[in-house]
Amino acid sequence: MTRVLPVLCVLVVVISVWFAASVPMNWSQAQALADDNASWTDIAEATQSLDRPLLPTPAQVATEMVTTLVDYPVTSPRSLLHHALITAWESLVGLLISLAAGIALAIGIVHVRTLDRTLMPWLVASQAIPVLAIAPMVVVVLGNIGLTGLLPKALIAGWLSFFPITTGMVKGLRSSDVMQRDLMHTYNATTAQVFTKLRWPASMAFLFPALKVAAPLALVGAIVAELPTGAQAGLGARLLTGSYYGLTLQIWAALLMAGLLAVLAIALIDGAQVLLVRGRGGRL
Amino acid sequence: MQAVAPEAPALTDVRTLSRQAAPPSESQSRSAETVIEARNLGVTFAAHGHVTVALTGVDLAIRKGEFVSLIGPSGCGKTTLLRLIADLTQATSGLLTVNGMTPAEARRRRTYGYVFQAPALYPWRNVESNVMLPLEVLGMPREERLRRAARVLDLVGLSEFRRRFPWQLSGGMQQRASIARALSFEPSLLLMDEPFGALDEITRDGLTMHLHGLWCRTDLTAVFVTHSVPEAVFLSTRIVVMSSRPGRVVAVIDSRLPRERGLDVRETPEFLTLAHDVRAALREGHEDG
Repeated sequence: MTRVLPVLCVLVVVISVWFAASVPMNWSQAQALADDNASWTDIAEATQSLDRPLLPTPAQVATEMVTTLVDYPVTSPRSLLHHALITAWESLVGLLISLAAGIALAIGIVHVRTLDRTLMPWLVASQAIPVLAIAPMVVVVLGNIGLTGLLPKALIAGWLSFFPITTGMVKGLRSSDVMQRDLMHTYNATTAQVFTKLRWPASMAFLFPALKVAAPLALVGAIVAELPTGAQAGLGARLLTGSYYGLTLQIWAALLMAGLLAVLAIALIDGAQVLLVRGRGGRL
Repeated sequence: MQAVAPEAPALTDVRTLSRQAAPPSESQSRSAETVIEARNLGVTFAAHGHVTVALTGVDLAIRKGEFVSLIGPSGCGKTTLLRLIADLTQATSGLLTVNGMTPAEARRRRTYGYVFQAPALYPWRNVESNVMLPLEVLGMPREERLRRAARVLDLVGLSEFRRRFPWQLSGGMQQRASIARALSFEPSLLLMDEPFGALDEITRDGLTMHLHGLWCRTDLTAVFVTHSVPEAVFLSTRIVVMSSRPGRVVAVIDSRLPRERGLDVRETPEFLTLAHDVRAALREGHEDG
């Protein structure tokens, strides 16, 4: 309860401010649509139930989310769940790609001196490129060689999210102190044994925070990658169609859904961390 | 060995002791094999244009079953000498053999156990798992590993704590676990680098007594680095006094105390004389350097 209570308090405050803000933000539109002899209270009431409000109220967004989640079957492109699952799947595959690539790169950097010196500048440069600019090109090029659907989006999600994992793992694999490594030296341990018994377990403390940074980045990458494909499927597609047709409720529902997905991802990573910590006696 | 009066030992007496004790005579070699032999050993570090002579001209022979302390001020090369024996550092001049092999070969054959200044336990493993670490590296089967870990944990008195994690133990207990780990694969040689340095006096006394009991019960050869004179005198059969700038051996003093001792030996006149000799040698080294 002590952990949930602060979060609930903040949530209540945020929703209250949101409700309060929706009145002035929608005022001009409500006023324009109202009769000439409408009172302040009438206009204020109207701000809460506009069709295409500037700032939807929490109630409107919640209703929109519930109807699009529940009222349509999952296979229907009108269902928010349908799009959410597509984006979630793309981000997950992207995160797995970045996990594999990040860990492999980190192992290479830590064990091979040449890679250590030459690879890092390129990895940093890869993050400096604006992904939103590159994403359409990547999608088109991959489409030309026949790779459509999941893969381009997963690749872009992976691109955005592999760097924190690489740097986190490099730091983690190097985090053991000299004495612990000297100890392995006195046992004449092979490089593989030093890796499995010392470096890998020591890096777990760095992997989980890196994953928590990488997971939302993978989600952002998946959504960004969906935009240039002409809004076929996924939360990015929902955002695009909502923006094209002026359906602000749809936009907000998609945004909130993306936020919920990110929260879910971090909660799952936290759960994995708890399981690991339990096997280690209570400390990461 | 002539008795030295506590008030005024002549400086030459210490040098005489040194010349008598090292290298060992033929008769002494025949009685017990030489485990570690160093001849004109030297280590020079060169970094960024600075040349540091860590050790120079070390002649030493350590026989099986001995407990040899290396004592001296900071920077005298005692840790460097220990690391040379362990093949954690390489010598730049002279000769060093461990069990008749090069230190590298001895390390590959896992001839010794090493105890660092800090426990250096792996925090994600419990005590038992930490103690089994070298056995895992050696590739021993699980039952064998558990059996040996149980035996060696019993030896250091940590059996009830084998499922605890290092952060749940006191400093003294962690060091005991570290010693247990060094002994788990039953090496014939134990190398210790100021293992009790970070502990309080009472814990240190207990652990010193523990270590002495361990050494008496087995036929371990031990090389022990310390900067505490009473600790060196209590534990050792031979004390190697070193000094710094450059790091070298000043004197090698044989202990006249009986092999098995209790903590009360620290009040006997022999102990005090020995401690005095050691301090005299330390002073001499300090004045020369």
